[in-house]
Amino acid sequence: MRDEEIASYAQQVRESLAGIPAPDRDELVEDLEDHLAEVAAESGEPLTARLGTPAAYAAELRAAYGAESGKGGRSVRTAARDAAGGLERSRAWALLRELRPVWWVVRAWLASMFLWYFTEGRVHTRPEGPLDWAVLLVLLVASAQIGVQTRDGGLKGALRLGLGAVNVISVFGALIYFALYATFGFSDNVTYAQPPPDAVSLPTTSQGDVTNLIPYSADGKPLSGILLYDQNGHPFQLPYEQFGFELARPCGGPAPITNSYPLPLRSTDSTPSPQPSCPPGIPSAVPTH
Amino acid sequence: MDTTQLLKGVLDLAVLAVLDERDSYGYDVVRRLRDAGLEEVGDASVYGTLRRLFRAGALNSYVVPSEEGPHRKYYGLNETGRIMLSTSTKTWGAFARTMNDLLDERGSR
Repeated sequence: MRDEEIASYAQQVRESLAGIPAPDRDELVEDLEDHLAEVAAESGEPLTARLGTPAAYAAELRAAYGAESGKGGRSVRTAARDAAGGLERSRAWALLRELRPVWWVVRAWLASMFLWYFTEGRVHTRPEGPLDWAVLLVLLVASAQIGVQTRDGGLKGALRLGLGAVNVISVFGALIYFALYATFGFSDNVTYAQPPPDAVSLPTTSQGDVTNLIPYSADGKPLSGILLYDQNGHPFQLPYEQFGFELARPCGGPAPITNSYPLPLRSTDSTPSPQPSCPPGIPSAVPTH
Repeated sequence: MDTTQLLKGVLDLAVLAVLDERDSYGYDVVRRLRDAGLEEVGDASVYGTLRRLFRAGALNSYVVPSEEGPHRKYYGLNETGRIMLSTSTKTWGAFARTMNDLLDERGSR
Protein backbone atom coordinates (compact mmCIF):
# COMPACT_ATOMS: atom_id res chain seq x y z
CA MET A 1 0.00 0.00 0.00
CA ARG A 2 2.91 2.32 0.81
CA ASP A 3 4.54 1.25 -2.45
CA GLU A 4 1.52 2.42 -4.40
CA GLU A 5 1.51 5.72 -2.57
CA ILE A 6 5.20 6.15 -3.29
CA ALA A 7 4.87 5.23 -6.96
CA SER A 8 1.94 7.57 -7.42
CA TYR A 9 3.69 10.44 -5.64
CA ALA A 10 6.87 9.92 -7.66
CA GLN A 11 4.84 9.75 -10.86
CA GLN A 12 3.17 13.07 -10.12
CA VAL A 13 6.50 14.66 -9.31
CA ARG A 14 7.87 13.47 -12.65
CA GLU A 15 4.87 14.90 -14.46
CA SER A 16 5.42 18.25 -12.76
CA LEU A 17 9.00 18.19 -13.94
CA ALA A 18 7.92 17.77 -17.56
CA GLY A 19 9.42 21.15 -18.45
CA ILE A 20 12.96 19.92 -17.78
CA PRO A 21 14.75 18.27 -20.73
CA ALA A 22 14.52 14.49 -20.48
CA PRO A 23 18.20 13.67 -19.75
CA ASP A 24 18.38 16.22 -16.95
CA ARG A 25 15.10 15.09 -15.48
CA ASP A 26 15.96 11.42 -15.57
CA GLU A 27 19.22 12.17 -13.83
CA LEU A 28 17.46 14.24 -11.21
CA VAL A 29 14.80 11.71 -10.23
CA GLU A 30 16.95 8.64 -10.81
CA ASP A 31 16.44 7.26 -7.31
CA LEU A 32 13.40 9.27 -6.25
CA GLU A 33 11.40 6.17 -5.36
CA ASP A 34 14.12 4.86 -3.06
CA HIS A 35 14.40 8.22 -1.46
CA LEU A 36 10.62 8.51 -0.93
CA ALA A 37 10.62 5.03 0.50
CA GLU A 38 13.08 6.18 3.15
CA VAL A 39 10.84 9.10 4.00
CA ALA A 40 7.80 6.86 4.13
CA ALA A 41 9.57 4.28 6.27
CA GLU A 42 10.11 6.82 9.02
CA SER A 43 6.48 7.34 9.92
CA GLY A 44 2.99 6.26 8.99
CA GLU A 45 1.99 9.74 7.88
CA PRO A 46 1.03 10.07 4.20
CA LEU A 47 3.74 11.50 1.99
CA THR A 48 1.69 14.58 1.10
CA ALA A 49 1.51 15.47 4.78
CA ARG A 50 5.29 15.10 5.18
CA LEU A 51 6.48 16.51 1.89
CA GLY A 52 3.63 18.67 0.60
CA THR A 53 1.95 18.22 -2.77
CA PRO A 54 3.92 16.51 -5.52
CA ALA A 55 3.80 19.74 -7.55
CA ALA A 56 5.32 21.76 -4.67
CA TYR A 57 7.90 19.03 -4.10
CA ALA A 58 8.78 19.11 -7.80
CA ALA A 59 9.12 22.91 -7.75
CA GLU A 60 11.47 22.76 -4.77
CA LEU A 61 13.44 19.95 -6.36
CA ARG A 62 13.79 21.89 -9.56
CA ALA A 63 14.92 25.03 -7.76
CA ALA A 64 17.51 23.14 -5.76
CA TYR A 65 18.74 21.25 -8.81
CA GLY A 66 19.08 24.45 -10.76
CA ALA A 67 17.61 23.02 -13.97
CA GLU A 68 16.29 25.33 -16.66
CA SER A 69 12.89 24.86 -18.24
CA GLY A 70 12.84 22.99 -21.52
CA LYS A 71 11.80 26.04 -23.54
CA GLY A 72 14.51 26.69 -26.12
CA GLY A 73 16.88 24.39 -24.34
CA ARG A 74 19.73 25.74 -22.23
CA SER A 75 20.57 29.36 -22.73
CA VAL A 76 24.09 30.34 -23.73
CA ARG A 77 24.43 32.04 -20.38
CA THR A 78 23.60 28.84 -18.51
CA ALA A 79 25.96 26.84 -20.67
CA ALA A 80 28.74 29.35 -20.03
CA ARG A 81 28.04 29.32 -16.33
CA ASP A 82 28.09 25.53 -16.29
CA ALA A 83 31.34 25.50 -18.24
CA ALA A 84 32.90 28.01 -15.86
CA GLY A 85 31.61 25.99 -12.92
CA GLY A 86 33.00 22.83 -14.45
CA LEU A 87 36.37 24.51 -14.90
CA GLU A 88 36.36 25.76 -11.34
CA ARG A 89 35.65 22.29 -10.06
CA SER A 90 38.06 20.47 -12.35
CA ARG A 91 41.26 18.91 -11.06
CA ALA A 92 43.47 21.07 -13.27
CA TRP A 93 41.87 24.17 -11.85
CA ALA A 94 42.35 22.89 -8.34
CA LEU A 95 46.03 22.31 -9.04
CA LEU A 96 46.37 25.79 -10.55
CA ARG A 97 44.76 27.29 -7.47
CA GLU A 98 47.29 25.48 -5.30
CA LEU A 99 50.07 26.97 -7.41
CA ARG A 100 48.91 30.52 -6.80
CA PRO A 101 51.85 31.41 -4.49
CA VAL A 102 54.18 30.69 -7.41
CA TRP A 103 52.29 33.24 -9.44
CA TRP A 104 52.59 35.79 -6.63
CA VAL A 105 56.38 35.42 -6.74
CA VAL A 106 56.50 35.60 -10.54
CA ARG A 107 54.27 38.67 -10.50
CA ALA A 108 56.53 40.43 -8.00
CA TRP A 109 59.59 39.54 -10.06
CA LEU A 110 58.04 40.88 -13.27
CA ALA A 111 57.02 44.09 -11.52
CA SER A 112 60.56 44.42 -10.10
CA MET A 113 62.05 44.13 -13.57
CA PHE A 114 59.77 46.95 -14.71
CA LEU A 115 60.86 49.14 -11.79
CA TRP A 116 64.53 48.33 -12.29
CA TYR A 117 64.10 49.25 -15.91
CA PHE A 118 62.52 52.61 -15.11
CA THR A 119 65.05 53.53 -12.44
CA GLU A 120 68.14 52.23 -14.20
CA GLY A 121 67.09 52.49 -17.83
CA ARG A 122 68.27 48.96 -18.46
CA VAL A 123 66.58 45.59 -18.48
CA HIS A 124 68.04 42.90 -16.27
CA THR A 125 66.50 39.83 -14.74
CA ARG A 126 68.43 39.54 -11.49
CA PRO A 127 68.67 42.04 -8.69
CA GLU A 128 71.96 43.93 -8.78
CA GLY A 129 72.77 45.62 -5.54
CA PRO A 130 70.88 46.20 -2.29
CA LEU A 131 68.36 48.66 -3.81
CA ASP A 132 67.22 46.08 -6.36
CA TRP A 133 66.86 43.51 -3.60
CA ALA A 134 64.82 45.95 -1.52
CA VAL A 135 62.46 46.64 -4.45
CA LEU A 136 62.04 42.91 -5.05
CA LEU A 137 61.34 42.19 -1.38
CA VAL A 138 58.77 44.96 -1.01
CA LEU A 139 56.98 43.83 -4.17
CA LEU A 140 57.06 40.20 -3.01
CA VAL A 141 55.34 41.11 0.24
CA ALA A 142 52.81 43.32 -1.57
CA SER A 143 52.09 40.67 -4.19
CA ALA A 144 51.58 37.98 -1.56
CA GLN A 145 49.29 40.23 0.43
CA ILE A 146 47.17 41.06 -2.60
CA GLY A 147 47.15 37.37 -3.50
CA VAL A 148 45.94 36.28 -0.08
CA GLN A 149 43.25 38.93 -0.06
CA THR A 150 42.04 37.96 -3.50
CA ARG A 151 42.03 34.29 -2.62
CA ASP A 152 39.93 34.93 0.45
CA GLY A 153 37.54 37.06 -1.59
CA GLY A 154 38.64 40.28 0.05
CA LEU A 155 38.97 42.21 -3.22
CA LYS A 156 35.74 43.14 -4.89
CA GLY A 157 34.43 44.89 -7.95
CA ALA A 158 36.61 47.52 -9.55
CA LEU A 159 39.69 46.66 -7.47
CA ARG A 160 39.53 43.04 -8.47
CA LEU A 161 38.95 43.99 -12.09
CA GLY A 162 41.91 46.37 -11.94
CA LEU A 163 44.15 43.70 -10.51
CA GLY A 164 43.04 41.35 -13.24
CA ALA A 165 43.96 43.95 -15.85
CA VAL A 166 47.38 44.47 -14.26
CA ASN A 167 47.92 40.69 -14.26
CA VAL A 168 47.03 40.42 -17.93
CA ILE A 169 49.30 43.35 -18.83
CA SER A 170 52.20 41.86 -16.82
CA VAL A 171 51.84 38.50 -18.49
CA PHE A 172 51.72 40.07 -21.95
CA GLY A 173 54.66 42.26 -21.08
CA ALA A 174 56.60 39.22 -19.93
CA LEU A 175 55.71 37.33 -23.10
CA ILE A 176 56.96 40.20 -25.24
CA TYR A 177 60.08 40.48 -23.09
CA PHE A 178 60.90 36.80 -23.39
CA ALA A 179 60.18 36.91 -27.11
CA LEU A 180 62.75 39.72 -27.36
CA TYR A 181 65.09 37.70 -25.19
CA ALA A 182 64.78 34.71 -27.48
CA THR A 183 65.73 36.99 -30.36
CA PHE A 184 68.40 39.25 -28.88
CA GLY A 185 69.37 37.77 -25.53
CA PHE A 186 69.31 39.35 -22.07
CA SER A 187 71.32 42.52 -21.84
CA ASP A 188 72.93 41.51 -18.56
CA ASN A 189 74.34 38.35 -20.09
CA VAL A 190 75.99 40.14 -22.98
CA THR A 191 79.77 40.24 -22.96
CA TYR A 192 81.28 42.79 -25.23
CA ALA A 193 84.00 41.53 -27.50
CA GLN A 194 87.29 43.42 -27.65
CA PRO A 195 87.47 45.43 -30.81
CA PRO A 196 89.84 43.97 -33.36
CA PRO A 197 93.36 45.36 -32.91
CA ASP A 198 93.42 47.64 -35.93
CA ALA A 199 89.91 49.01 -35.49
CA VAL A 200 89.43 52.39 -33.88
CA SER A 201 86.39 54.42 -33.11
CA LEU A 202 85.96 57.40 -35.34
CA PRO A 203 87.47 60.45 -33.68
CA THR A 204 85.57 63.62 -34.32
CA THR A 205 86.10 67.21 -33.29
CA SER A 206 83.59 70.02 -33.13
CA GLN A 207 84.71 70.90 -36.66
CA GLY A 208 83.85 67.47 -38.04
CA ASP A 209 85.48 64.16 -38.81
CA VAL A 210 89.18 63.76 -38.26
CA THR A 211 91.03 62.47 -41.30
CA ASN A 212 94.57 63.41 -40.39
CA LEU A 213 96.68 64.63 -37.45
CA ILE A 214 99.19 67.42 -37.79
CA PRO A 215 101.66 67.26 -34.90
CA TYR A 216 103.68 70.28 -33.77
CA SER A 217 106.48 70.51 -31.25
CA ALA A 218 106.09 72.69 -28.14
CA ASP A 219 107.97 75.53 -29.84
CA GLY A 220 105.63 75.50 -32.81
CA LYS A 221 107.68 73.53 -35.32
CA PRO A 222 105.70 71.07 -37.46
CA LEU A 223 106.73 67.48 -36.80
CA SER A 224 106.60 64.60 -39.18
CA GLY A 225 106.85 60.86 -38.88
CA ILE A 226 105.18 60.80 -35.45
CA LEU A 227 104.12 57.25 -34.70
CA LEU A 228 101.00 57.08 -32.59
CA TYR A 229 99.77 54.17 -30.52
CA ASP A 230 96.72 53.82 -28.31
CA GLN A 231 96.82 52.89 -24.59
CA ASN A 232 96.89 49.19 -25.52
CA GLY A 233 99.84 49.55 -27.81
CA HIS A 234 97.81 49.20 -30.97
CA PRO A 235 98.80 51.49 -33.83
CA PHE A 236 96.47 54.49 -33.91
CA GLN A 237 94.94 54.61 -37.33
CA LEU A 238 92.45 57.02 -38.76
CA PRO A 239 89.71 55.73 -41.04
CA TYR A 240 90.67 58.15 -43.75
CA GLU A 241 89.44 55.72 -46.43
CA GLN A 242 85.89 56.47 -45.30
CA PHE A 243 86.35 60.10 -46.17
CA GLY A 244 87.73 59.57 -49.63
CA PHE A 245 91.46 59.57 -48.96
CA GLU A 246 94.29 57.18 -49.51
CA LEU A 247 97.94 57.11 -48.58
CA ALA A 248 100.14 58.58 -51.21
CA ARG A 249 102.83 56.11 -51.96
CA PRO A 250 106.13 57.88 -52.39
CA CYS A 251 107.79 57.13 -55.66
CA GLY A 252 110.24 54.34 -55.32
CA GLY A 253 110.00 54.35 -51.52
CA PRO A 254 108.51 51.85 -49.13
CA ALA A 255 104.79 51.79 -48.40
CA PRO A 256 103.92 54.50 -45.93
CA ILE A 257 103.33 53.55 -42.34
CA THR A 258 99.67 53.89 -41.51
CA ASN A 259 100.18 55.36 -38.02
CA SER A 260 102.91 57.79 -38.91
CA TYR A 261 101.50 61.34 -38.70
CA PRO A 262 100.88 63.52 -40.52
CA LEU A 263 99.62 60.99 -43.05
CA PRO A 264 100.55 61.61 -46.65
CA LEU A 265 96.95 61.63 -47.79
CA ARG A 266 95.63 62.27 -51.19
CA SER A 267 92.08 62.21 -52.42
CA THR A 268 91.00 58.99 -54.15
CA ASP A 269 88.82 61.12 -56.43
CA SER A 270 91.78 62.76 -58.05
CA THR A 271 93.00 60.77 -60.97
CA PRO A 272 96.47 59.61 -60.15
CA SER A 273 98.98 61.24 -62.42
CA PRO A 274 101.04 58.73 -64.37
CA GLN A 275 104.19 60.41 -63.13
CA PRO A 276 103.55 61.02 -59.41
CA SER A 277 105.54 63.85 -58.01
CA CYS A 278 108.08 62.86 -55.38
CA PRO A 279 108.06 65.55 -52.74
CA PRO A 280 110.92 65.73 -50.34
CA GLY A 281 110.27 64.94 -46.71
CA ILE A 282 108.79 61.50 -47.04
CA PRO A 283 107.31 60.36 -43.70
CA SER A 284 109.81 58.06 -42.16
CA ALA A 285 109.18 55.14 -39.93
CA VAL A 286 111.36 56.65 -37.25
CA PRO A 287 109.78 59.36 -35.19
CA THR A 288 111.79 62.51 -35.00
CA HIS A 289 112.47 63.92 -31.60
CA MET B 1 13.14 36.35 9.12
CA ASP B 2 12.37 33.48 6.82
CA THR B 3 15.00 30.84 7.47
CA THR B 4 14.18 28.95 4.29
CA GLN B 5 15.28 31.97 2.26
CA LEU B 6 18.60 32.10 4.12
CA LEU B 7 19.02 28.36 3.80
CA LYS B 8 18.85 28.52 0.00
CA GLY B 9 22.18 30.27 -0.15
CA VAL B 10 24.03 27.97 2.19
CA LEU B 11 22.41 24.60 1.59
CA ASP B 12 25.30 23.47 -0.63
CA LEU B 13 27.76 24.25 2.12
CA ALA B 14 25.58 22.54 4.75
CA VAL B 15 25.25 19.41 2.64
CA LEU B 16 28.99 19.34 1.88
CA ALA B 17 29.79 19.76 5.58
CA VAL B 18 27.51 16.90 6.58
CA LEU B 19 29.00 14.63 3.91
CA ASP B 20 32.52 15.61 4.92
CA GLU B 21 31.83 14.11 8.32
CA ARG B 22 30.73 10.84 6.80
CA ASP B 23 29.07 9.47 3.66
CA SER B 24 25.29 9.50 3.74
CA TYR B 25 22.26 8.65 1.65
CA GLY B 26 19.64 11.28 0.77
CA TYR B 27 17.23 11.00 3.59
CA ASP B 28 20.02 10.57 6.13
CA VAL B 29 21.43 13.93 4.99
CA VAL B 30 18.02 15.53 5.57
CA ARG B 31 17.81 13.99 9.01
CA ARG B 32 21.31 15.02 10.02
CA LEU B 33 20.76 18.59 8.86
CA ARG B 34 17.56 18.76 10.89
CA ASP B 35 19.29 17.24 13.92
CA ALA B 36 21.99 19.87 13.56
CA GLY B 37 19.34 22.58 13.92
CA LEU B 38 18.29 23.28 10.33
CA GLU B 39 14.76 22.07 11.04
CA GLU B 40 13.16 23.87 8.14
CA VAL B 41 15.33 22.23 5.50
CA GLY B 42 13.14 20.86 2.71
CA ASP B 43 13.44 17.24 1.68
CA ALA B 44 13.24 18.08 -1.99
CA SER B 45 15.83 20.85 -1.59
CA VAL B 46 18.33 18.45 -0.09
CA TYR B 47 17.60 15.75 -2.63
CA GLY B 48 17.88 18.25 -5.49
CA THR B 49 21.10 19.68 -4.04
CA LEU B 50 22.66 16.24 -3.74
CA ARG B 51 21.81 15.45 -7.35
CA ARG B 52 23.20 18.79 -8.53
CA LEU B 53 26.44 18.42 -6.57
CA PHE B 54 26.77 14.92 -7.96
CA ARG B 55 26.21 16.17 -11.50
CA ALA B 56 28.78 18.90 -10.88
CA GLY B 57 31.36 16.25 -10.02
CA ALA B 58 31.74 17.16 -6.36
CA LEU B 59 30.40 13.87 -5.03
CA ASN B 60 30.89 10.22 -5.66
CA SER B 61 28.06 7.79 -5.04
CA TYR B 62 27.59 4.10 -4.46
CA VAL B 63 24.61 1.90 -3.74
CA VAL B 64 24.46 -0.08 -0.54
CA PRO B 65 21.94 -2.94 -0.63
CA SER B 66 19.66 -3.11 2.36
CA GLU B 67 17.92 -6.25 3.58
CA GLU B 68 14.81 -4.75 5.10
CA GLY B 69 14.38 -1.42 3.28
CA PRO B 70 15.15 -0.03 -0.16
CA HIS B 71 18.67 0.18 -1.58
CA ARG B 72 20.46 3.26 -0.40
CA LYS B 73 22.47 5.51 -2.61
CA TYR B 74 25.30 6.88 -0.53
CA TYR B 75 27.05 10.12 -1.40
CA GLY B 76 30.52 11.17 -0.31
CA LEU B 77 32.91 14.02 -1.05
CA ASN B 78 35.61 13.54 -3.62
CA GLU B 79 38.63 15.85 -4.05
CA THR B 80 36.58 18.42 -5.95
CA GLY B 81 33.94 18.37 -3.26
CA ARG B 82 36.50 18.89 -0.53
CA ILE B 83 37.99 21.88 -2.39
CA MET B 84 34.49 23.26 -2.88
CA LEU B 85 33.81 22.81 0.83
CA SER B 86 36.98 24.58 1.89
CA THR B 87 36.38 27.48 -0.53
CA SER B 88 32.75 27.84 0.51
CA THR B 89 33.73 27.68 4.17
CA LYS B 90 36.04 30.64 3.70
CA THR B 91 33.38 32.56 1.78
CA TRP B 92 30.82 31.83 4.45
CA GLY B 93 33.23 32.79 7.24
CA ALA B 94 33.95 36.15 5.64
CA PHE B 95 30.26 36.75 4.99
CA ALA B 96 29.19 35.81 8.51
CA ARG B 97 31.90 38.02 10.01
CA THR B 98 30.76 40.93 7.88
CA MET B 99 27.14 40.46 8.91
CA ASN B 100 28.04 40.08 12.59
CA ASP B 101 30.21 43.19 12.49
CA LEU B 102 27.44 45.11 10.80
CA LEU B 103 24.89 44.05 13.40
CA ASP B 104 27.31 44.54 16.34
CA GLU B 105 27.95 48.08 15.16
CA ARG B 106 24.25 48.83 15.25
CA GLY B 107 23.83 47.14 18.62
CA SER B 108 26.62 49.11 20.26
CA ARG B 109 25.18 52.46 19.22
